[in-house]
Amino acid sequence: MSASIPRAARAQRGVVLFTLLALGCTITLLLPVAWMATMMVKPEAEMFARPTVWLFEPTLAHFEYVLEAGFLSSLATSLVVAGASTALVVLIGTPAAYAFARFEMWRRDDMFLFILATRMAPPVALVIPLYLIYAKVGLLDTHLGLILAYLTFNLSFYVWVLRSFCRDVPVELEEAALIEGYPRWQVLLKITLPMLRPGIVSSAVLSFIFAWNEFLYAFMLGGRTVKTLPVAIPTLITAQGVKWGEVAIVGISALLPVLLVVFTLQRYIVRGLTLGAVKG
Amino acid sequence: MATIQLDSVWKVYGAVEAVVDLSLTCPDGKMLALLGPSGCGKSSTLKMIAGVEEVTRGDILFDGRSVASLEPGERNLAMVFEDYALYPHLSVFENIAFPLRLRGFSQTEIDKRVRQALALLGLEQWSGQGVKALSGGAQQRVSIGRALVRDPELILFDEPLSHLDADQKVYLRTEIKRLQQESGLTSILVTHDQTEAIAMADQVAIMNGGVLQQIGTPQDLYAAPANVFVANFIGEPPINLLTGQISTAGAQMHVRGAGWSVAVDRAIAAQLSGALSGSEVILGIRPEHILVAQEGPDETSIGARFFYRETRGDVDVVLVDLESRDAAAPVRLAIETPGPMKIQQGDPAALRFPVERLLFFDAGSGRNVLPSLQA
Repeated sequence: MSASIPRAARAQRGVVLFTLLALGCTITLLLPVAWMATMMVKPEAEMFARPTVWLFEPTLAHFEYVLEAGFLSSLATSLVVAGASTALVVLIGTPAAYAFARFEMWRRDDMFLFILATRMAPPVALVIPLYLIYAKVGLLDTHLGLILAYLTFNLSFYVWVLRSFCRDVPVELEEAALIEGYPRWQVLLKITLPMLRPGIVSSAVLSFIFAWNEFLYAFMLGGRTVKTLPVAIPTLITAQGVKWGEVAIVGISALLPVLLVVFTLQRYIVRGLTLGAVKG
Repeated sequence: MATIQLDSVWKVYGAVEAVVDLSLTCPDGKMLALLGPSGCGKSSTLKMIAGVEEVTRGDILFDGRSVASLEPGERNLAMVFEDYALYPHLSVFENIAFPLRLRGFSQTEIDKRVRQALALLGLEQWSGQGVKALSGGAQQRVSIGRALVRDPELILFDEPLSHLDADQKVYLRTEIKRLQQESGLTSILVTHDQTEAIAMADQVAIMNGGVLQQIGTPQDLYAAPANVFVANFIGEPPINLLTGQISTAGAQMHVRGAGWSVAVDRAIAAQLSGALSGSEVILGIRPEHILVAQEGPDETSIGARFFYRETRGDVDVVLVDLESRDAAAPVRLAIETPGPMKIQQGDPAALRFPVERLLFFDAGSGRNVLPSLQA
């Protein structure tokens, strides 16, 4: 009894210290974001005043500029491109990953490695050939062009990750359903897919974030009429100087959809990222 | 219900022959156990019967009609898996209802049947719960409920008890046997545990390396094993096997090994010398059949020294080393006696092998050369 009290107290002190540390890390990480958030409504004159001005008259001038410059359409483009490419990745990649996990096929492992190999080349090495091809077939500066480009990149990643999730679904469950008389596609829908949901969601979110943040391809293959947010932001570096307030607005609005996706799907993502890592 | 027949069935994976020319029959309403060590082909056989694996060659017949080309769902059979294979996203009720939903049963009929199954297996209080929270035994009962609920022609049990605690194991073993007998279910049980096979099955088929070794009642397998493998696989502690030579001294024939010799009468001797491929014979005697006395040997007994005694509560298992000139490699025998026996290591012992309990195997092929002696 006498030993347990100090031990409990020590444990409590540990918790307090850990909480403080975590709090410190979080504040350090969030401070620039918060500072950026204040820049959205900071008048140009006080933007880089020394010492930093924390109290100021908020202005909406930056928002006006952003709206006039057509950043809403860039936001829409980003949403369409990232959303559509992710949807296609899930639609095509899920059956592919399942097939690679479950079925015997000719040179399966070689083909699987080949799929991964498409991710091994540095993206910059592929952008020129892709540009030339796109120019020939008229895919330059189209939504479809960007969607296809992200599809090729994300599909290999998605199939690779989801195959191991598929392997973690016990084959006996599918056999049981087959024996009950369910045809293979119904087994996939009723048994396998519900169990794969965490894996599908977390890999899809990663695909989405990649497509959302990607700059090089969006810049090279799009850029004029089809302009995603990462490409649009540099246009705020103007001859008159960098429009920091506007950069802050676009930056924050680029952050929000990702945050939204991650927070709404959080419980799947956490399960997805830990699944397979910890074997029971 | 149906009679299940396997006709020269082969399963080949690439270069591996998992099941070799297997023919056997499970009579209507009986339970057949496929018994063997892991990798013996028993699970492949079960999966072929279920239809989740294809038959490489041969045919599988339910009541004389070939099912080898049918989908698993068209065979009207149910399967109980080692890992229960319950659908983790469904409740106990829905797991059992799952096969009924596909067949388009009305909700009232589903309710009725599932309630019956739940009551039969004592699962009522878990009905609405998820299956993950249940104990292993309860999960396996749900899985049995799912198998029973749609009156299949055949139930396949794939190592149904191997992940359960000892008490659950014995309980469920009896439970499965009771259900099987009461409803006259044709069932096939795959197991590596001889106790399970013997306790539950009407017929036991022993497999090794994809090849059927012997099929018969548990009593047949115990009393007249077809070969050394079967003899060794059935029985706990395992049978004692001694390699010896046949020697004739005058009219009397002996089987002699290092430190032991057994006199065999003329009738057996004549059959033996005719059946053996060489002069070497493997003598088998079960631990429960050796008679042991705590004394020095005389002319009719075999000399040995006690090595160790293991108490099993009801009986003792004593290990003895035969007295042999080759002390480096002593022949050690296990003997089951109604103890308790007070022994010290090194004490002399006198052993007697009752001739009517002896099994004789050909040393070359391992075949039982005198199966009729026991049967």
